[in-house]
Amino acid sequence: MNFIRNTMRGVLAIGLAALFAAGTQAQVVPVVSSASPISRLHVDQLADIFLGKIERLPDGTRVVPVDGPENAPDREAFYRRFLGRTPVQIRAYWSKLLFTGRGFPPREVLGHDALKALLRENPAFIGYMDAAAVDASVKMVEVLQ
Amino acid sequence: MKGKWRARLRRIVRPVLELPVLFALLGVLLATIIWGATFYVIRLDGRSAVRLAGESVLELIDTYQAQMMANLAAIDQTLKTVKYAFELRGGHEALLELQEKGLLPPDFVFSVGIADARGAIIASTRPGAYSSIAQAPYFLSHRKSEKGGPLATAIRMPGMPAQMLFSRRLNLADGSFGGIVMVTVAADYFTSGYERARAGDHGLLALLAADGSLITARSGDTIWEDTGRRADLQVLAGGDDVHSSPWDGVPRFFQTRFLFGYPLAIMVGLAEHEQLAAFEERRRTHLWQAAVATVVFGMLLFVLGRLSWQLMATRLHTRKEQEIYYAATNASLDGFFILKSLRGRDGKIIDFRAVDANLSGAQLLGVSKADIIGATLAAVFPQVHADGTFAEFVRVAESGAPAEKEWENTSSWPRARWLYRQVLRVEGDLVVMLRDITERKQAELLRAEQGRVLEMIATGVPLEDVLGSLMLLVETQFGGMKCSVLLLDADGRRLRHGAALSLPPAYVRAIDGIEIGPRVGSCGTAAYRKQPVIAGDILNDPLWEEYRDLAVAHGLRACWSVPILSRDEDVVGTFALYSPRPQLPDPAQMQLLDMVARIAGIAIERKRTEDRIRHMAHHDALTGLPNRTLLDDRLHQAILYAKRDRNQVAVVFVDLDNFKLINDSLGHNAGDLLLKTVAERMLRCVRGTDTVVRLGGDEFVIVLADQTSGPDAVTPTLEKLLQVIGAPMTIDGHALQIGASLGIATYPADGGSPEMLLMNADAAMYRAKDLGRNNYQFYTAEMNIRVQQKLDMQEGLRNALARDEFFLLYQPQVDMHSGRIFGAEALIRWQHPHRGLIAPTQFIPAAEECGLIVPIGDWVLREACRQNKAWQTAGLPPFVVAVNVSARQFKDRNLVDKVRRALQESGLAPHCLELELTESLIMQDLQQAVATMRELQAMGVQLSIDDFGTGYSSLSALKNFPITRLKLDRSFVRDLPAREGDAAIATAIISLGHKLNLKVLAEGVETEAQLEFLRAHECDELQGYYFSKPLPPEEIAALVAGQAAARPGPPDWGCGIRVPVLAET
Repeated sequence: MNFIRNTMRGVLAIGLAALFAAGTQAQVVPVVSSASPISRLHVDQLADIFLGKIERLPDGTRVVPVDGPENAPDREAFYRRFLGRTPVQIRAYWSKLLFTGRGFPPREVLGHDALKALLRENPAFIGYMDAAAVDASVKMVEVLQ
Repeated sequence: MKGKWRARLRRIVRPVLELPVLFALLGVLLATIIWGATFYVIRLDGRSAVRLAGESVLELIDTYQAQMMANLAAIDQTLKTVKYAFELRGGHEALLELQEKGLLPPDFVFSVGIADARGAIIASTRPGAYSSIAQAPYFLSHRKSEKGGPLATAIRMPGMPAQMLFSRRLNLADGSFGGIVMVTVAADYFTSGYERARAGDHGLLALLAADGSLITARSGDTIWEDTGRRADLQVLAGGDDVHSSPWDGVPRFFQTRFLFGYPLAIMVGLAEHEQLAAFEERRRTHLWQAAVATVVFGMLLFVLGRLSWQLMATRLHTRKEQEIYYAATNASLDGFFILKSLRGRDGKIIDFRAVDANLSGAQLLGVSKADIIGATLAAVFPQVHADGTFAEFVRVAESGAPAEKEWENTSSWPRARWLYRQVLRVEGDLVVMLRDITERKQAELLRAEQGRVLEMIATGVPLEDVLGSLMLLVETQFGGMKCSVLLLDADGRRLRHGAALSLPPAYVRAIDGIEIGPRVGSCGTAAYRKQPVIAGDILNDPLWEEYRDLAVAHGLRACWSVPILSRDEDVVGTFALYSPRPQLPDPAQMQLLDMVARIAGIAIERKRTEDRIRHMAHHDALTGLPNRTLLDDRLHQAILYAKRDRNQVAVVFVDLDNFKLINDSLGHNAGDLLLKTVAERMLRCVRGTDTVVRLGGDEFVIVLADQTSGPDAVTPTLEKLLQVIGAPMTIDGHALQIGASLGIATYPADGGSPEMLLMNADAAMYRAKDLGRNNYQFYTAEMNIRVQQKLDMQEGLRNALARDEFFLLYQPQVDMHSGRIFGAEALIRWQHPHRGLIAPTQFIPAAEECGLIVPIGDWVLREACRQNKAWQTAGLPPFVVAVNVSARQFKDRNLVDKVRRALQESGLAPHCLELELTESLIMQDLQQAVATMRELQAMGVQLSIDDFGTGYSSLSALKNFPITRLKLDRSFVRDLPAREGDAAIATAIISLGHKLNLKVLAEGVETEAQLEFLRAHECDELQGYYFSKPLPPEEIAALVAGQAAARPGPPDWGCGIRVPVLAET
């Protein structure tokens, strides 16, 4: 009985996800310069980077996060997907850090182009964009769960 | 003065010092300490917690302030930067550039905007963020004048979160108002630094306007703004106070700071309950611990208190007990000693040390208490080892089993003669109790002696020995004194010597036989007065006047005398104590004397009783003569003496003649008197050496001892005896005269032993009786034969009845006129198997003597009836059969029944049976006889008087007899007609009989002359050899039948019935 129910749920979930994915067609992925040595990151590492908790990877590579504009759907999607936080939570997080002087939010760039330019400029940057917008200058970072 | 205080103090302190109180106080103290400490610690902790909280708040606000200033500074920096850029470049390009260069703060937090001089927004990082601000007060304010510094404004819009707007004036190149630059940030940005770690869940970060109105506040995740309430910033300035926050009411520690340069204030609050939570926790723990500690200590104290109280109670109890013990032992008459065992190295007891003794104990030993305490046993009593005392003590000490002992103290110390001791083990010590029991013991010994003497009395020890023991007892109790017992004579006048142990014999002899009187020394007076008489000093005592010299000469100076009384309170003697020196008795001694006198009285009385019993056992009560038991003794003695002296002893058997008659006719009292008189008379005839013994009944035996010559020598005595016995006497008013039959047997001729002599004398006596009484007969050998014969006869008679050796002959009784046989007298004959026919004269007396006459008579009666019936059955004309009745038979109560039964058994008609009674028989008990006769008469049986004229009949009685006929005795008939006397009597009797309406029958008619005479004188009937001798039944039958045949005539209307004389009653 349970088994059938779970299977049904699973099928439904996949279907919805597929639908959603098909509907939105907006798959946000983290990106770095194609010159960047970074190819894959653990999701926690990714979260730490974007929360300002780490500046360097274990192997010493410098990483600097870059955010999209505040209201951009990418931003929301990215944070939601990889950090599991809502924009309100992010804002509160950075407000606190900002206020207490303990941290600075990632710089913002407006649009994919600006981001790409930034990434080209400095392979230490890491940002995120719609997977559809990924081109050769940037590479997707594989996110390990 | 001090004393009073001290006393008062003591009075207060003492109850306090009582353990329970102490414990209670201790408990209270402890509790106070615990709780005091706890509260103190709590207070300190609280204070420190508060202080800490205060410090935390301070720290927090310091940090907040710093952060706040930093942020404000940064914001101001942005304002300045944009102002610089604007004043350099102008417009929104500046803004954009700055933005691109990243010189603006993060967009999602801050929005920057520029407004021109008219108030229109010309640039903004967030389009739409600003609306027209032309009328905003801050705009107007900037426009008015250069402030120099930024303006901070709180923007509150209903339904929207508050915002803070910071602005600076923009100047144109010419320094005129060019507009303002604005940085806007959400007000809650300023409280976003809230960290739970530092501020707790209910801490407070607040941004306020300088007037106390709230711009934004955060507590935990809760943000509130614009509540319309103002905070009293003065009150909430800070310090250690806790106030309720005006917006949510949570009590907090507050700090408030005004921000320098801005019309703003920041407020930090830490929730009291959070800050103090730890403290509260600790406080709870402390309280809990305190409570636990209190309880634990409380219980501990309680337990200890109780234990100690119990201990105290026990101690008190013990002390009380000890007090009681001390009181008891000190008051006790017994000596108490407490000994502690001293042990040697090997653990064995080597000695005892006295650790305590009471007064009585010290007194007993004759020392002081101090002398005893501390002394060792062996030191004080060196003999304890030798006499086993030490061993006993050790035993008790080791085993715990008590020991007690009574002993006579032979040494001179201690003084007590008899002691009792008890040894106990108590709590490891030995307690020895010592008691002087001299008094008790002596009393016991005295009682024991008493008992012994009484036992002596009871077991019949001779009086002298008993008295001797008593005196020994007394003399032992009273050392130095001498006892005397005097016995009162039977006449009650003189005191005779009873017993004396230690008195000088001369004295004893001298006072023997003194007469009692009012002034006869102590004893004589005591016996006279029946009271104890004490002469403490004989020399001065008036009672001893006459005997003073006598007593003093024998060294007797005091005499205490107590009369000895019998049970009936008669004086039987005196018991006296003599003392060699003058002295008076003390009460104890008098008591002893009384007791001894009582016992002596018992002994004496017992002896008297014994003597009396012995006398009674050996003497006849009535006459006072010795009885049978003494007879053997006396006879034996007489024989012994006779043997020794070669003399003779005559034994006289005396039997009073006709005593029974007198006894029966005059009564037993008269009989007794008669016996007594006879006894006295006989005694007067004999000497002192002779013995008169009453055997019993009317039989006496006289032992004439010391006879020097032959049997004839006693003849005078015998004559005398007969004379005195035969002498007339008056008994009970009756003049009587009796005789005696004496039988004499002499030792050694007639026998060598008492039994032999008695037997032979008895035989002789019988002979005397046989020979007509009132005479004496000497025993001859043939008397024995006679006696033997008599015995044989009696033996034969006994068997004869069983063996049917008896048979009846019948002598016809004939009518004088008609010559007809009208009746027959039944006469018994005995056909002895060896001796042949034995006449009744020979065996009837013997039968009467041994009583066999009764069954024989019964047999005769039955046989006669049977025979008569048989005749009638055989067809003979009926006639009377006459049966003789003996005295014994007549006395038989069952006679009437026997007659009735005989008639019933035989079936004979009563009027065909006649019973012949003798005068003497009737006269023996007239009343009874008449009654019996009437009974028989009522049955129909005929009665006649046999042997009339020879007995003692009372003529007055005669007329009342219910009889049919008189039978004239043969003695009157024998000499008829010659003897005038007999003729006269015969005729008189005939006449008498006729006058009384009786038939007269003449017995023993043998001659015609007799017959003629009798016929002439109208005698009615005859019986005798003249007509016929006694015949066997068949011959009678033949005779009667012949008569009947020969003279047929009017048939006799049977048995010659005469209507008997009706008795006049």
